[in-house]
Amino acid sequence: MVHSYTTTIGDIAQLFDGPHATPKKIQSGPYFLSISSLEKGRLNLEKSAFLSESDFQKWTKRVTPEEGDLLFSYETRLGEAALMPSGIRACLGRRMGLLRPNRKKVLPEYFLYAYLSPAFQQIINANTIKGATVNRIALNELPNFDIRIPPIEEQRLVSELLANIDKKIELNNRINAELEAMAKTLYDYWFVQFDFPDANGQPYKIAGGKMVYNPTLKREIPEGWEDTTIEKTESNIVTGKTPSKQKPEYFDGDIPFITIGDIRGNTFIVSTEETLSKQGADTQSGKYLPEDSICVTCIASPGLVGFVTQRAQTNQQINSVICKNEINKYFLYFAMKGYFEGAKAKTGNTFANMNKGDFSDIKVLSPSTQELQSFHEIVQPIFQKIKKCSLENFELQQLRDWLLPMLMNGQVTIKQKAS
Amino acid sequence: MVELEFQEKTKQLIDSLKSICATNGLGNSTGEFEIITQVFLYKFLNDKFAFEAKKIDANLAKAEKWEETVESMSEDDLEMLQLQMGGDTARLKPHHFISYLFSQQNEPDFAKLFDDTLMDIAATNNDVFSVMTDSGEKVRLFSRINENVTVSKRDAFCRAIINKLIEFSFERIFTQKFDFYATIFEYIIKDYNSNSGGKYAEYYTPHAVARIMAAILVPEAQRGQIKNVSCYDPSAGSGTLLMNVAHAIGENRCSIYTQDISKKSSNLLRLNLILNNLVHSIPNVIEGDTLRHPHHKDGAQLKKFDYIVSNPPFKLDFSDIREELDSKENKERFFAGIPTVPKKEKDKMKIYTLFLQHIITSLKSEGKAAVVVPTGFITAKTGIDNKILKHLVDNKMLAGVVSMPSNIFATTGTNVSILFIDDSNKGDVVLIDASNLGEKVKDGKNQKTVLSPAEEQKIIDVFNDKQAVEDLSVAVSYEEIAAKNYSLSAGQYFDVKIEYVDITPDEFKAKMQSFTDNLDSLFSQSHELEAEIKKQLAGLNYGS
Repeated sequence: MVHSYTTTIGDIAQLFDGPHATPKKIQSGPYFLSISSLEKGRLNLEKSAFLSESDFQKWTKRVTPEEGDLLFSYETRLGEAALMPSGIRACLGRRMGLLRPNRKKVLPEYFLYAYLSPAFQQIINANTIKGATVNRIALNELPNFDIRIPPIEEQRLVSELLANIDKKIELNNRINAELEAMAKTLYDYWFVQFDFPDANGQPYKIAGGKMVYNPTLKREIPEGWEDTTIEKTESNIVTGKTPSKQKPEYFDGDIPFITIGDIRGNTFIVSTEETLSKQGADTQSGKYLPEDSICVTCIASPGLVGFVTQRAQTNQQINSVICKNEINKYFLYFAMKGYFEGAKAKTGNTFANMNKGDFSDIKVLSPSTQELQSFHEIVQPIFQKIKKCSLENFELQQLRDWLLPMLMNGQVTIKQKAS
Repeated sequence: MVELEFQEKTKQLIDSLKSICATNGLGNSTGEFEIITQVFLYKFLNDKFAFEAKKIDANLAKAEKWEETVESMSEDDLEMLQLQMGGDTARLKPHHFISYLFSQQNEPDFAKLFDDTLMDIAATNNDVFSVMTDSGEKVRLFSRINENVTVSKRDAFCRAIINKLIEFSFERIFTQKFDFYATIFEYIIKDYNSNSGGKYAEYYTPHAVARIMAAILVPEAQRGQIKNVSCYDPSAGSGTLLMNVAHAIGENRCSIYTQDISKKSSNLLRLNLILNNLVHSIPNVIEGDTLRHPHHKDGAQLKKFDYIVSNPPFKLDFSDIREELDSKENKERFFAGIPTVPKKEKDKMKIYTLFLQHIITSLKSEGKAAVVVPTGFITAKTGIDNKILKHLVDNKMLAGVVSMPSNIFATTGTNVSILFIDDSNKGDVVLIDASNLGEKVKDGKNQKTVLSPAEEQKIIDVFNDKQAVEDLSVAVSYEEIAAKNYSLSAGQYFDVKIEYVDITPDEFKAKMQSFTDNLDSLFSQSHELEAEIKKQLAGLNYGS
């Protein structure tokens, strides 16, 4: 007989409502939190505004968020929540509520996982009031919502495991960011600043290496190097396509179908929202991309670049480069990223509809083979590590999402082993 | 500050007239539009008559009541006086004067007298002041305004109007310049030009756009040197674009030719011409469909013009006339093709491509044009749009493009660019991306972008001097444009600048060491967490 441990929100936490107006926002100071800051259990303060000190005093008269408080959205973005961190001064934003846990009954960390678990999300859905414009939950009903809260010790064991998995994922992301920044510093030093090692092992330009003005690239580049285009560097460029949506049998198979959202923030594309069946993908067999192809978004949000990690296809907003020559791979990755970063700052929406021809014609540097080879040898292990961490993160996310509901409903428990 | 004072008084008059209309239930209606524009015009013609008459006849200038002096003239003397006034002043008789109507306001059926007076003025001036339709019918100067008013209120309505008209004289405004009339004209029409004008929406071109177009078509250095030229707008609307160009050239040095399918536009345009001393061009105002029945011709051929300006409708359902347009005689005019009728979304047919082709074939050799187009046109890679771009580039008849900021038009979300066609330009083409200029302001419910005078002038100077200004403009050859698949978007020619600050070898080494140290720390933490997670996973039990 397993104890259900079901109780209500009101029994374990105190509920506070947020303001129903907006203060004047400024550039720095205490935060005026926003529900857009709540992202899958994390608080992203980059999306919150600031308010003045005097406004802060005024707006926190009723409640001042404290470390361990659970922040949640009760109108639009229902189901999102995050914990208030320590060392941050902030007031609640509009459509945001706060639950202050009774720490004798519930640990904040466990409370957050329980709130985000599928079981409680279903309770939120069942109690959602559908509006013409936005959906919401009635705050006065929230204290009556059921939630499963086991004894403190069990909470601690469960939240520690889940938190460790989350920490590991976060660490991998930081490792990846550091590795890519390291590789980019090398790319810039060699191919932007032109201080790659010369014949004597000295930095080329600083040591007085000969530079020649290139009218196409409109800058001085090392003698003997040239300008070229993406297509001349690697001619196998594929523009993606979407199979007919009127045939459901073409979808939900084993073949990843990459769209813009899958590339954003991912150097390696390890998962996709949509997939194609073999049947669907074979209707456009010319669109298959092998592992390590480079995907570049060219429409809507141009300039996102990422590597394919298993045989895949993309939609029509993405052009991909299949590298025949291995040593071009990571050089092209940075060259294309650099192109779009430079272009984006200058031209706003000019790239809204870059097609395959425009993409193929992008001008890039053509360094000598020796430098490309050396660069490849140095950064290849770096990118392999990034890929390994990305794949590991995917597995960890799968593990966490699989364990979360079973840990929340008591189906799975943790025993502390004596060590 | 006479000018400002009279501007204020003129605006007050307009506001008073609008108030009278509102009191009679005509606020913001089509009827109000007709009444305001016609009554204002009547006042204008009356006072201009007085102004011109006093210049010629010293007795009139000295008289306490000039109307009485005119009334006492013999018919021969009056006719002689009017002959001396010139063709751009309406011919009036003593019983046409505002003062005469004022003296009759308490008579029965005053409203009828009011309308009869306007109709008589129209009949007397029919030869000069009427607009023609493409079928040859004349559209008179005035119509009966009281048809818009409830029968029982008509006399009182007209009494209220005549009392406003009598209050002050316009005479001192007749020495004013173009900008004064442009301001007044905008004020008169501001409540009536919206995008709900029917099939052919009557879009109002912002003055900033019109000024830029005129200043680039007729640069400062050329003003005063051009004469006897023709200016044309195939979708003239209220004529704002033409007024600006005519002003740049000199109103007495050019003739204006227009066509517009909208009766309302033709009336506005006539008012604009009269205000701007372009009465001699009224016979060239044609009310009618430019695409189906282009009126201005030399024999059987389209008449060709020195300057063409246009802000054409962009997208419209013309499916019911599409086949009619696809004819042998239109082969040459619509050289790039006529959009086909789509199965859905017929209201998105690109009618502007037809106006563009019409304009290109209506341009004299060495002629110039400025056309407002949707910004998507300048980067079109296929279809009729691209064929037009090829035609302009391959025939070297471009001056350039100015891409405007978003929301320069408050009523449409479409981004617009101004295309400058110049058959005499064989050198570089100037492309300007002004999308980052301007300031956002609220305009009713819409957001609107407004260019400052300094920004307007900058665009004009950069264009006319063919300057390449970083992040704003490029000057490119026709060959370069063809190589870029005929794109006229400045952004595609901007140098992609590499923002990078050189670092020293020591800085490079230090940075690499920092990466290495950070990674060592992260790797250690990662290994610890791995061990912890493994231990915890080993402790998992299913069930209890």
